Amino acid sequence: MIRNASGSAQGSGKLENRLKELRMAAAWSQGELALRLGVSRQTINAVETDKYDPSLPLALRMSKLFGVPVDQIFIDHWAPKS
Amino acid sequence: MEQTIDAARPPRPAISKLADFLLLLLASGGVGYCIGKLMAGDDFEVGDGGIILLSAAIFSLLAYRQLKAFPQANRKQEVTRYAVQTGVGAIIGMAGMSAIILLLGDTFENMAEQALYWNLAAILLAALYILVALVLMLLSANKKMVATKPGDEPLSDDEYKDTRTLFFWAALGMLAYGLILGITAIYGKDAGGPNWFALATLCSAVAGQWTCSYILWRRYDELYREVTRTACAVSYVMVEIMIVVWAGLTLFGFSVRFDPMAVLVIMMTISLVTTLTVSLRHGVR
Repeated sequence: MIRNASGSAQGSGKLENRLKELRMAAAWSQGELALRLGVSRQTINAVETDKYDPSLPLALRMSKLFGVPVDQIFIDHWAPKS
Repeated sequence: MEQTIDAARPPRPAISKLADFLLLLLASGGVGYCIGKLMAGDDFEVGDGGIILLSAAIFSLLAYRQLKAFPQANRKQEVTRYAVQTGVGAIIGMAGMSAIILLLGDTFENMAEQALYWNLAAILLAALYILVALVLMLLSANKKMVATKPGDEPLSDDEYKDTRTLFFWAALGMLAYGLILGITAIYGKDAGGPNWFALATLCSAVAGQWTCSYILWRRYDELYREVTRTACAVSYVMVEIMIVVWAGLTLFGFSVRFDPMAVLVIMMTISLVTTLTVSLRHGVR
């Protein structure tokens, strides 16, 4: 089994995300992003550090804010068995 | 076979952080107790030497683990944070131990004589809840302590205010849990008849706790709700297993006596450990 930097196993149902990368590209702090999304900075921090997978409404808000499809923010390595 | 893509150190498991926190509280309490004895001019006994050695050993172990875990980039900041937390812990430990002995010294002796060990455990757990509540309240007074700061990102005033409020309500909730346990243990030991005062105080503490939980649920966002939901679910399953095992043992003739005080202590311990573990796992600290 291959593990990423945060120790989460690929294909185990845990998502990876590009939130930090997108936030940095927009030159926002975690606090600013939290304010725009209407959540706490701890929530943003928890998502970026793979400790929390956001709810669907929050993921959709992130997608709208960055103008990027949800599946390009959150990457799932699951694939159906053929 | 497992492979590692990135050489970065994986995050420590939440249970390990929780163990560190409880050990720090224990060692700080030990130091506080010794300082209290020194200030009161009491003689040190053999057992006190053991407390000093144990506290020193715990501090050394924690300091070693923390130093290893701190990233090089902000090690100084982390060491300062750790030192301040330890100092605050020692002061609270000293005050807490002194207050407990002053207020409940006779009660402790009576309970030990009557072998009311679950009541004693309840008072100690209540003290732990109250200490954690006081630590939360004190830490919320320091801007650097109230939230996990990513890198050098400054904490805005709004966020500081918001986190302080979160700490305040969480501390009040824990204080109410401490009161629930303390009141039940103290007034429940020799109930000769209905004690309306104890019942009214207990009901007020329960109502206070529910109010704090409700306010926290309404006020904070989905991360807090996720932590609460998970902690409640895990606690429920653990208590359910305990009750099923107890019912089975009793029905099958093993006649296990289950003291109401034992039920409270076990449930509250499960709740405390589960909540802290789930919070740490979700990066809330």
